[in-house]
Amino acid sequence: MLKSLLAALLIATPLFAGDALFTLSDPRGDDYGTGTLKYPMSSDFQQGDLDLLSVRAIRVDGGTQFEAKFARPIRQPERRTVDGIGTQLNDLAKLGFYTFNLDIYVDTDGVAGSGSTTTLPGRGVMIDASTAWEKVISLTPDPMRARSELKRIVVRDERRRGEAEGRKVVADETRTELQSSVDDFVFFPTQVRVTGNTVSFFVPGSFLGEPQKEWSYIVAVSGADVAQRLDQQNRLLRMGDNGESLMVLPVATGRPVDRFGGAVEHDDYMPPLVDVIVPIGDDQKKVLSNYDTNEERAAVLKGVKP
Amino acid sequence: MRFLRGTAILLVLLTVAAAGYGQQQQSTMTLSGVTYTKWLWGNQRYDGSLYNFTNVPGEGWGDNGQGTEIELLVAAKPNRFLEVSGRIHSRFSQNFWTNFGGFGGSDGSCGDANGGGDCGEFDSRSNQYVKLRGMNVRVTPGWKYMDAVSFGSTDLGMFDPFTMGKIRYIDRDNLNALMASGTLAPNLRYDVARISLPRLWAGPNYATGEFAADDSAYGLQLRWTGPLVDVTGIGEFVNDVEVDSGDIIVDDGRELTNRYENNVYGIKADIHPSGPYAFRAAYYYSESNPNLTLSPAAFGLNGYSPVIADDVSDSSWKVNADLTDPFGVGLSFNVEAFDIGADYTSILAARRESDVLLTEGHDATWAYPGPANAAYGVFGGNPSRIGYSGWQGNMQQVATINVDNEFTDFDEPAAETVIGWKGFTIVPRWQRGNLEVAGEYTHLDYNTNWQAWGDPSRAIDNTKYPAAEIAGIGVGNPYRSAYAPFQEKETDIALVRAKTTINVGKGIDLFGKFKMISEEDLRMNDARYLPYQANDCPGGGVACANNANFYQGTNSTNGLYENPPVITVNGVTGYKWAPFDDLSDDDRDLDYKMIQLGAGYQLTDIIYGSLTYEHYDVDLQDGNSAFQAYRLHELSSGQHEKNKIIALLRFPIGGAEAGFNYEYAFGEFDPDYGTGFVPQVADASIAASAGVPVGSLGFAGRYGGWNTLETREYEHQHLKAYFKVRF
Repeated sequence: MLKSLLAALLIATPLFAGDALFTLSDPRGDDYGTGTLKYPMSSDFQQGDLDLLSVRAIRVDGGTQFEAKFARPIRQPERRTVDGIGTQLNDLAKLGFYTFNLDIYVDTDGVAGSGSTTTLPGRGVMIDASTAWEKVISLTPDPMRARSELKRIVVRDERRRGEAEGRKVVADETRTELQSSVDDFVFFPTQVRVTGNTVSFFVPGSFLGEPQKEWSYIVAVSGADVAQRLDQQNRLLRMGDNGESLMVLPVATGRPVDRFGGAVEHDDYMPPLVDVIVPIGDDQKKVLSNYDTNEERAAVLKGVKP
Repeated sequence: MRFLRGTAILLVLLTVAAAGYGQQQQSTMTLSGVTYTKWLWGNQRYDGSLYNFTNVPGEGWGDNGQGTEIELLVAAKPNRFLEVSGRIHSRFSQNFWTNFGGFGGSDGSCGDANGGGDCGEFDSRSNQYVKLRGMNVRVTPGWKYMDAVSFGSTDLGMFDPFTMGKIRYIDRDNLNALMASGTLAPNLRYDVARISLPRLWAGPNYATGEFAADDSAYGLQLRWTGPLVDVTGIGEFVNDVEVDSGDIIVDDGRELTNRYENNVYGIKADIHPSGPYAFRAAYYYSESNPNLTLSPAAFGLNGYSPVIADDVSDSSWKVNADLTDPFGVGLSFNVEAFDIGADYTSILAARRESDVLLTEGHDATWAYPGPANAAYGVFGGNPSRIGYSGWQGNMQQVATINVDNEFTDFDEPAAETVIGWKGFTIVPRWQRGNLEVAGEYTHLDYNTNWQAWGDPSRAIDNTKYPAAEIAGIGVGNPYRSAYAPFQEKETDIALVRAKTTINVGKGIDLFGKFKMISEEDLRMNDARYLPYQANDCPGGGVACANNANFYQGTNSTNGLYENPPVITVNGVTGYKWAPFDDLSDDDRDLDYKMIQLGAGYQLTDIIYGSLTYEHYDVDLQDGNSAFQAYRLHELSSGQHEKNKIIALLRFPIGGAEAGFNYEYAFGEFDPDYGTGFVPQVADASIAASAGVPVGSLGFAGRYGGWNTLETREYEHQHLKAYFKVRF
């Protein structure tokens, strides 16, 4: 009877197993960003939590399954109140993780200068023009809110840009197109599975297409600000900063409880990225530290071909 | 064209957003913050405050009303070494929209369940006051061995729930401390803190005495992080002092004397080799030394204090093994063994919002002794505060009797004490595709299994243990009660839960759970503790002889289980309640089943909704009319059927979020208090006090409390809607 039941379940349940497309590996123990970045003192984080070891892509029915493996078991969101109204952490982070964002910028055309060289808000880095992206996959604990936030940010920044040019109102058509463009170019996975050290997520072919050999990828891990609280104080601490942050835990000096530490004072260009996959021969520390606050130049990441 | 335009737009806009750190503008001041608006509705018709629950004297609770909080964030960097942050925060409390700004006087009905908002213009509970919160100064000197020094508010989030844990009391960071952290050697970090002891609750009798300003706790944490093993050592030293009243010569200053000392030591190891295995172990040892001349020297049956009234020491430990898909078939296991000492005491241990054990524990819908979650509900004027439906979800477990569920709403997690628990939990989890099936089996034994509080040399109503509502009464367990005078209990918890997403439309989330709890508690299990000598009450309408039985010296339980008088009701003569003449009179036998089924769906791009149904079927024997729940609470012996329908909506809108939680609970309780007594009839006075129909049957207990024999039918609705805006 039990055997029959298990057999029925096995048949009824689709497998994620499929053709392996590629694997990107990353050294163990390099979850220090620029080299000076320190985890928050909060008990929600521990060294190794955001240490990415590999990203694997698998062809499955209807799209691509990505599997990201970390050095330590992924922390599961508890049922815990996180704000003044009683919101529960596991309601915000329904997908089974809450401490990190994992962004994959995909250069699908391989044409230098084609695509975008920017990154999602709050990441604090740029993309090398040679591997400018056409698609972004952002695995984040609260994808619906992230998507909504990004649409808000995009429209608000367009308004600010318009104001600088003497236009105070964003036309409805522009607003709609902007918000739609978010869905065209940025995908927030919602089909996610967490097992021990590994998080698997599905990206439909309708968004990404089928990964090709010549594509390159930039994979970046950041801490997640699920309650979206810290971007408020972060803005205050950067008096006058118009920058927005999309679910990212910022970096500060010293070693705070609620954000990453290790920044140098007024070093506003230090990226809050914890771990990135860099091309063979490159050093993550050097890549992420290659920014210049005085010249207002962000660090630049370059895509990796599997 | 679309691609180019969209890409161009994103290119520009995200440049501003992502790399725009450097786009500094001249700005003199920025205000940022969050505003919360809450809308409560419920058919308990209480309006004591905008929180569903509190026990705090002078504070109100309620399930109706609308109110708004604002939290203004303040932050600055005076110089390169300093960072200052804080909040100016109003509080829901009794600040209803109906207060019309908080003006006017009070009619004196402020607080408790009714009359909320009527404290008057000069009472901070209802005059829309704001408070300074979370003020913290952080210094980052850039020294080799010190990353940061901070002073001011903290949530102790860097420490440990067994020693110094997160302690929320409306806010998370009401504690104030001087703290430092840094690196002593490669991979060896330290955190050190001097915490000002909260006078509100951090000592015997939920207080720190008259002289509180110098009360403190010192904490030190050393953490060594290796590639495969992390080791953490923690020490905590609490010192609550008072001015020595014996030092009458004040010319040379005044001496201090201790009111309370609490030392806690812990060591934790975390082994995480690559591969599917991970192991964790933690051991804690505590010493708790109250000055019994300055704090309660003993408690009665139901004393309230977070500290045992004696010098005690005890340990707690737990060991975890995590096996992640060891066979490569999607099957993982989490295993935990634990032993939490009966006398383990850390006054700064996490009081909630931590979950120190793997088990689900009890369900939070049964949080208090009465069938509808009333404490002392057998007496009139003690209504259920949280209500029949209780809190949602399962309890979280904390390693203290100092549990705090204050100022919560029904949709928030509630915590229960695990002091005295020992046993093991096995959680298998199987994942395949979108399907996840998990189970749990937990066996619980108790370090608090004892007779006469474990010390027969003392009278039964003279104990060192603060039992609060008394452990083990009702369907669940009173959440802050670890101790009972008589206990011989074992608990088994088993559950299976599953969730999956069906690829229909945007994906329908399906989830469900089946949970069983089997619990037996013999309570008194030795005839030497019976209150009276054998055959003291012969029955047949003959009065009891009242020949006491002494378990040691002059100690007897006859004060607790007093013999009944003989009464005549409608021509029937017999005992008013059954005499306590058999060890089975107080036996507890719980057969608990719960099933949950639910579905969730992304209704629109931004609106997620779910609908859940829960059914509880409980067959409980919890003593009979001789036991009377220690004569303090409603008896819950009988058949309980409870149903819950929960509708949730959540919609994040850029920069804001709205939510809606509606719960409809209904069910019935069919009492079974055994035989051996004459049912009595409720007169008008009893009916009014106990909330039962005139003429209904029941029995009056030793303190006159009324337990109805009629089937009770419950219907409880409540709703919480909120809107949160960041600005």
